[in-house]
Amino acid sequence: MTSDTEKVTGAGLGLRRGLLEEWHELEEKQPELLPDFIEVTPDNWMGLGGRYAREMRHFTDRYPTLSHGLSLSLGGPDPLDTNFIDRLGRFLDEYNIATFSEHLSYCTDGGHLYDLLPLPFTGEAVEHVSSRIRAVQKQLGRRIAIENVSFYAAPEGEMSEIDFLIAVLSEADCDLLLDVNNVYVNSHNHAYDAHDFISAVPTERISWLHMAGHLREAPDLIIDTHGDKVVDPVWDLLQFTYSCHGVQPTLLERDFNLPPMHELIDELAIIRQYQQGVSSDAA
Amino acid sequence: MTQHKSRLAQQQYEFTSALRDPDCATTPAGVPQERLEVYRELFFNNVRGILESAFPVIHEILPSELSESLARRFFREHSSHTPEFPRFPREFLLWLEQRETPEAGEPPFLYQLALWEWTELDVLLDPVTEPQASDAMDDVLAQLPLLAPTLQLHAFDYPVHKISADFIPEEPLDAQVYLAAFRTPDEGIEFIELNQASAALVQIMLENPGKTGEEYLRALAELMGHADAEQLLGFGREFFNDLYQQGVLVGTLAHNQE
Repeated sequence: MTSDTEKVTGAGLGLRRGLLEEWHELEEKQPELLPDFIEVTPDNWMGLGGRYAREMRHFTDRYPTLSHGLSLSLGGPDPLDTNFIDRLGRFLDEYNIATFSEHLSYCTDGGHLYDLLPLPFTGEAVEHVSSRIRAVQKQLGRRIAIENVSFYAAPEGEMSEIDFLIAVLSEADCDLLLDVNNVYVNSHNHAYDAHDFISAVPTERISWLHMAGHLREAPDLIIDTHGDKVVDPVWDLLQFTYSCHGVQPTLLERDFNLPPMHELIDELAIIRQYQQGVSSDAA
Repeated sequence: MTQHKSRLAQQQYEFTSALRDPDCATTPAGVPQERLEVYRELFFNNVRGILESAFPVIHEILPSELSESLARRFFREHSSHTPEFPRFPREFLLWLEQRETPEAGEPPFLYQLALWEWTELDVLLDPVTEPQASDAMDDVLAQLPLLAPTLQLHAFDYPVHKISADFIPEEPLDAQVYLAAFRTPDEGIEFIELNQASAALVQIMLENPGKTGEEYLRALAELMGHADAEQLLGFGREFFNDLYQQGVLVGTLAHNQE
């Protein structure tokens, strides 16, 4: 299968309904501050008409667009929903979106639970999820990227998270959407070294990066909420990621407690600043 | 279907059962109890939050213990087959329709109110595109009158459109109320109460697209047992014009007689 991943560059922002109004304002008043690319969640926009279809067209026409699914249940116990994958493929074609990503996780048990469940880190799970990723890639006619998810507990396993991730990337022959915040959250919640994890990731598989804020619920527990600003240790980890793997397109996710748009734009500016810092160091 | 489950599937079902049912006694192997509680809370709050924003009136009028126990039962019992998030609330409606016993103390109009609240969302999301209708209504009896393409019509035993914390009906209405919802050309939403005759006409149009105004009126006369269809045809243009003024009709298409 050929990789038709259209490499985006720079700093991107996840498209959310709650941001549309301010986003349009920014397009009129300060277009120089706009994100370099966007990411949409097909599951939130597929099969919609009226205003939503018009907005989707507006944004996908103007910005290089990546996509990030939620409902495929790549690791799930049910058969893949091939009908849904067909609809997904048509949506991606309709809006000219070359690149699709999903979570290394599952979200069904005969029905949808609408959030991400932790896979056990076992050889059996590697085998299962990899064969399904291959099937999805085949049906969509695209190489896809999988995201390392945040998790708060994992059912009994036999390998580490990083070994599990690397095994799936290799077995499924797919790309990686590396979520830097998730590495931080997991390293904290499961007491491992985030730098070791980042260093071990195969550079050539990285498609793009995610950044997000989280919630420190208790001293030993961070919840991955996408509801707050990115914190300093995660910014540091982003810089470390660039130093390990070179500059990668980086997308800011914000799903809850949406702040005024300019605060998100300020965070994009930080991403760009780090990207330029690394580029000029390298030059 | 009884088939042998792999160890992976066993681990997965064990985990999700423990999430769906907080009273479930088994803690999945490898999962600390307090972290299981974190998952339980995250998953349930997510579902509850989606229901609250999709069904704001239900959320407003039900005591919080009741809406919580409904949401818990829904999450425990229902297998949802809608991967698209915006349409997930419809699964709650399906569950209300399918479940065998209502929750103690729930109002008798719960399903109808949920249907009405879902209709609003469904109309806003509808992928149908606006047709190119002519606004010439003069010759509507010979032309093909067109309904607003997103229009949905429902008959209710309770005045669901008026329910709020200040108005909770205890008895059903003497006669059903007919409510239509549709998207307006400026992408807003309009709700209209129709009288019985208009509702019957709109229902006929929904079921038989592509007929002339006259054909619709004759069908209505027959349905209503009108001996004199000609009399109804006499009012016909006015009848359709009222619906047009309300936005229920978007105009007409030319009828090409061949």
